[in-house]
Amino acid sequence: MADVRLEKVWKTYGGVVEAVRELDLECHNKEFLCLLGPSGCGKSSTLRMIAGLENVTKGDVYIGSRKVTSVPPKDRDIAMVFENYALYPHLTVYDNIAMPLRVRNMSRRQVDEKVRHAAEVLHITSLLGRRVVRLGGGQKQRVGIGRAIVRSPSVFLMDEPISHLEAQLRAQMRVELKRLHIEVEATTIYVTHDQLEAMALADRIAVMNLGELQQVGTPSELFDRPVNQFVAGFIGTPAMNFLECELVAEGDELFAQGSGFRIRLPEATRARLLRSNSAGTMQLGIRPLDLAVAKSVGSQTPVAARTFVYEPQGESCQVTVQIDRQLLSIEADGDFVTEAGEAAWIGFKSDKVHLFDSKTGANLVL
Amino acid sequence: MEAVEAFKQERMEQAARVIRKSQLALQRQRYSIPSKFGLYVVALLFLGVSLFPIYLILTASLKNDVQIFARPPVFIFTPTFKSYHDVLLVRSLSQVRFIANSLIATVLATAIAVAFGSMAAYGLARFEFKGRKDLAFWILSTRMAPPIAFIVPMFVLIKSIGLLDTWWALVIMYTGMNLSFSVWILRGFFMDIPPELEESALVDGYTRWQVFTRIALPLVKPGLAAVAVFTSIFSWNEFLFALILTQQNAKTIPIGITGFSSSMGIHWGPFMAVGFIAILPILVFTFLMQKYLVRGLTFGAVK
Amino acid sequence: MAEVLLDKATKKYGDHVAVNHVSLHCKDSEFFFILGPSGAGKTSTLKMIAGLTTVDDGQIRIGNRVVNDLEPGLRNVAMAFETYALYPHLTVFENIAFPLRAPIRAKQFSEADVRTRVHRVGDLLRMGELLDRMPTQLSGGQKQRVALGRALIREPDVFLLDEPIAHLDAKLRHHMRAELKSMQRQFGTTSIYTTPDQLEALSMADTIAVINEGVLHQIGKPLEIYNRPADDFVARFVGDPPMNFLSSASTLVSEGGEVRLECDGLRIKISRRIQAILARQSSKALRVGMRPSDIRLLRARDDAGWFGEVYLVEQVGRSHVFTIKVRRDMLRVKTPLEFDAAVGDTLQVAVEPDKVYLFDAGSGRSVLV
Repeated sequence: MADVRLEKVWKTYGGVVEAVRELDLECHNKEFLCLLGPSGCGKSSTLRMIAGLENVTKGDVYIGSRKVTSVPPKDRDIAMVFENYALYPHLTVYDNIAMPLRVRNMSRRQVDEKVRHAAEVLHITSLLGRRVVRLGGGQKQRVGIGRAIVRSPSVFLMDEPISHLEAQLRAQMRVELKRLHIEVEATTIYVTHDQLEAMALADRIAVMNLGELQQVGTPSELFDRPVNQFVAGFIGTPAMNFLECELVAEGDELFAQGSGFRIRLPEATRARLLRSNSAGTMQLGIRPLDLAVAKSVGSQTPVAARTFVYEPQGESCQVTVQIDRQLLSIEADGDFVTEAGEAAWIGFKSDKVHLFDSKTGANLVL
Repeated sequence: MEAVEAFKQERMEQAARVIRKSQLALQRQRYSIPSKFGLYVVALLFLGVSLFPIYLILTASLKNDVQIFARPPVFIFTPTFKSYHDVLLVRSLSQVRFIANSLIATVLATAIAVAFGSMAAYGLARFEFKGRKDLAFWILSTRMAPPIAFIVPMFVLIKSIGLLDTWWALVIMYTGMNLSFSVWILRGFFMDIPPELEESALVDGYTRWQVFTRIALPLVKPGLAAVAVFTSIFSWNEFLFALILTQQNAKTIPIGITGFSSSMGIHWGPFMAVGFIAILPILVFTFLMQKYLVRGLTFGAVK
Repeated sequence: MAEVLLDKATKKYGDHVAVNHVSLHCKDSEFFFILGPSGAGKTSTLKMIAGLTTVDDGQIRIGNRVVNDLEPGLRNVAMAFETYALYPHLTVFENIAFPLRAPIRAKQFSEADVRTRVHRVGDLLRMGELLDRMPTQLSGGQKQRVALGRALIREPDVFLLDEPIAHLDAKLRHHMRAELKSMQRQFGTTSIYTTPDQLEALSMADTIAVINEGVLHQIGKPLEIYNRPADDFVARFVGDPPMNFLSSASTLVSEGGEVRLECDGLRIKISRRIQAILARQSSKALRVGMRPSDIRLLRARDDAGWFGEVYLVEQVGRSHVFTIKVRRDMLRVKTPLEFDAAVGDTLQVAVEPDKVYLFDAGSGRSVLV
C-alpha cells in the first residue's frame, strides 16, 4: 500500500483543451479518495494519468515515494477497474481473475490460492466455474474487482465501476465496495459523477470542475462547509437552494435581504463577513434540510410563501414553495401535508445559511 | 442563476466533446509516418489498376483506327467523336435501340424491386403472423439457385406466355432475381428503426401506410440506395438472360456489344464507344447514390 | 377528459403472462402511477391502453367506451416514450407539430394554427430557442422536453407517460418531477405514468398501483402505500432504504395481559394498537418488517435485548445509515448524523413498538391491514 501524490499536474489535449489544470492532490495511504465532478471536469483524465494510460503534460505523479510520471502502467503496481468491466467474455470467472497472475509466472498453487481468496472476499466463489458471458452486471463487476484485488497492488483505481448498474444493484454494490475497502485496507482512488456514491463511499472527496480542483475534504466538510457555490450546489440531494440577496446593516445587526425575505445573520457569520469586506448582491445558499415550513406564521417560520408543489416521500416530504418569483425546495417531516396553492410559512436556520460572492462564487461565510 | 448554470453546463459539454475529439485524433496519430506512406502507395496502386481499363476504353473511343493500334501507344492526341457518331447515328451500327432496352429494363426492375421490396420488407419486419420466419427464408432461398440452372425452364415459360423478345421478359427476370436481396437488406434496416418512433405516430392518428411512407421510408434511405444501386448494376450488366430471352427487338447493351466482335474481326473504335456508353450511366448513378450509402446508419435511434 | 378503466386486462407473450388480469380505475384528471420493477408489466399495460398491443383478455375502457379493438389513432390518447422516440430527420418544431399534421386531423388545423400551438408549447416547456434544431443536437433533458411537447400539443383525453424521465441525471430528474407534477395539475388531464422509481411515484402520484410480474399488489394513495403496505413486496419496494425483514418467522406470545412477538428466542414489544389488530387475525407464523428510520440504536447495555455488530456506516445527507449484523440478518438503520459508531462496535437494537409491520409468513400479505 502506498500514498499517491500529484504535484502541479497539467493535462492538455492537442495543445488547446486544458482538461486538468495545475492539480495538487494527495491520497493518503489506505485512504478511499473519490474524484467527483460532472462530465468533462477532468476526473477521468486525472485517474488515467495516475494509471499511466495518459501522459502528463506538466507536473509529476508519485506513488509511494517513487516518481512514476514516466513509468509505464504495468510497472506502477496499480490495478484498475473499469466501467465496462474489460473482462474476457468466453473465459470462466476463475480464468479472468487468474489472468494477471499467470503473466507473472506464479506457481499453479499460488495462483489458485490467490484466486480463491479474492473470490471469497467478493462472495463469488460459487461462480468461479462459470463463463463471464452468463453473468449479470453486478457479478461481472465483482469479477473485475477480483481481477484487480488478486494482484495486491499499491493502489486501486476505479473508473465509475457501478454507475451503469440499476439503482438497487448500485446500492448493494456500494455497501460491498465500502466493506471491501475496510477489509482489504487498500489505497483506492475512485472516479464518479454521482455525489451520493461519493458521499457514501469516500473517506475524502476531491471535487473537480472544468479541470480545476474545487475542494478536497471529508463528506461532512463538503456538505457543511463548501468553499464555493459550485461545491455547495453539486453536493447534496436535493440540491442547495440559491437566492439572490443583499446585505443590510441595522445597528448592530446584519441581515440578508432578498425579494420576499429578510434573515437575521448570526454573530459568527457577521464577524466573518466583516473580515472579508463583502458588499453588494450575493447568492444566499440554504439546504432544503435547513428550512422549516409550517402552515401558519411562527417564530421559527416568519417568511410568507406559497406552496408550488407537494411531494410526499414516505418518512419525509418535499415541499417546493414560491417566494415572490423564486422557488425554494424544502425537506420536511413526513407528517407535514400541504397542497399546491396553499399558503405556507418558512424559516431559515440562520446558522446554516451560506453566502456566496456573485462573481467568484466563493463562500464568504467560511 | 439559471442562465449561468445553463452556460456552465454548455461549456462543460463543449469541453467534453473537444476532449473526446482530441483523444480520437491522438489515437489516429499513433500510426507511424512510414506506414502511412505505405498505405497511400498501396491505395494509389489499387486505384490505378481499377481505373486503368476505364481510361483505356475512354481514350480508345476517342481515337481513330490508326491511333488505337499505334505502337508505342499514343497518349496525346486530338480526340474525335467519329466512333460515337457511328454508334449512335449510323443506322447499320446504331446502338440506340439497345440502349433504350437496357434503360427500360433497368429502370423498371429497380423501381419495382425498391417499391415492392420495401413494402414486403416492412411487413416482414413489423407484423407478427404465422410462418413469418419461413416466408422470409423462402424469399431468400429464391436467390440460392444458380441462374443457369433454370434458364431453360424460364425460356419455355416465357415463350409460352408469348413474351419472348420483349423487354417485359427482362423486367420480370431482373425483378425476380433482385427482389429477394431487396427484401432482406431492407428488412434489416426496418428492424433497426426503434418501434417507438412508429408507435408514437400511430397513437397520434397516423395510419400504418402513412407511418410507412412518412417515417419508415425516410429513415431507411441508405438501404433504399443500396438496393437501387445493386439492382441497377445487375440489370444493366446482365448477359445470360438477355441473351436467351431476346432475339431482335429487346436486345440490351451487353448483347449489342457482342455484335462488334464478328468473324470479320473487332471493330475497335465503335466497340470502345459503346463500351463507354455502357459504363457511364452506372458510374454516374453510383456516384450520385454514394452520399446515401456512405451516410450509413447515423440516422438511427435518437436515444 | 376521461377516466380509464381496466377490467381484468391480460396480455400474454407466448407462454409468458406479462399482465395478469389487472383491474384498475384511473379517475378523471388523476395523476395515476403504475409502479413496479423492470419486467413487471408496466409498459405492456400502458401499450394496451394506447392500443399498441392487442388485449388477450379483459376490457379497456376510456371514457365510457370499450376500446379493446379501437385503433390507437382513434383513442384520443397521447404517449411520451422512455426513449423519447423523436423523429431524427425532422426539426424540433416539426417533431412537435407532427401529431397535428396527421391526415385525420388535417382539416382541423391550418398551418397558422399549428405554428401558434407549437410556439405555445415551446414557451411552456421553455424550449423556444430550440425549435429549429435537429434532435441529434439536443441534450437528454432537451429531448425529453420535446417528447413531452409532442404529447402535450394535442390536448388529448389521456396522457400516457412511459418512464419519461428515466434517462436524465439525478438533478434534472428531481427538477422535472416538480415540473411535471405542477403541469399535470395545471392541465388537469388524466395521466397514467409508469416508473420503477418509488420515490418518483410517492412524490408525484395521486394514486399508485404497485405491480410485480404482471400481478397487481396494491392500489392506493402514496401515504397509504407507504404506511400500510398490503404485502411484503410493496413494503420492500416502497421506501428507501428498503424495509428490513427478519428472516426467521415470528409467533405471538401472551405474557400477562400483553401480547409480544417472539422471534428466534427474542421478544419484540408491540403497541396496543397492533396487539388489538392481531387479536382478530389467525395467522400463525408471521414475518416481521421494520423501516430503517423506525429502528433505534443504543450503546450496548446489559438488557436482554437485541444486539448487533456494526458492519458498515454510510453518510447520506445529514443522516447515518448503519448496516448492522443482528443474528442472522443484516439490518439497515437510519440515524441522525450526531449518532456515530465505528465498524465492529456492538450496539443495542430496538424497534418502535407502533411501527412494527407484520406479514403472513406464507402468503406475504400484511396482517395489519
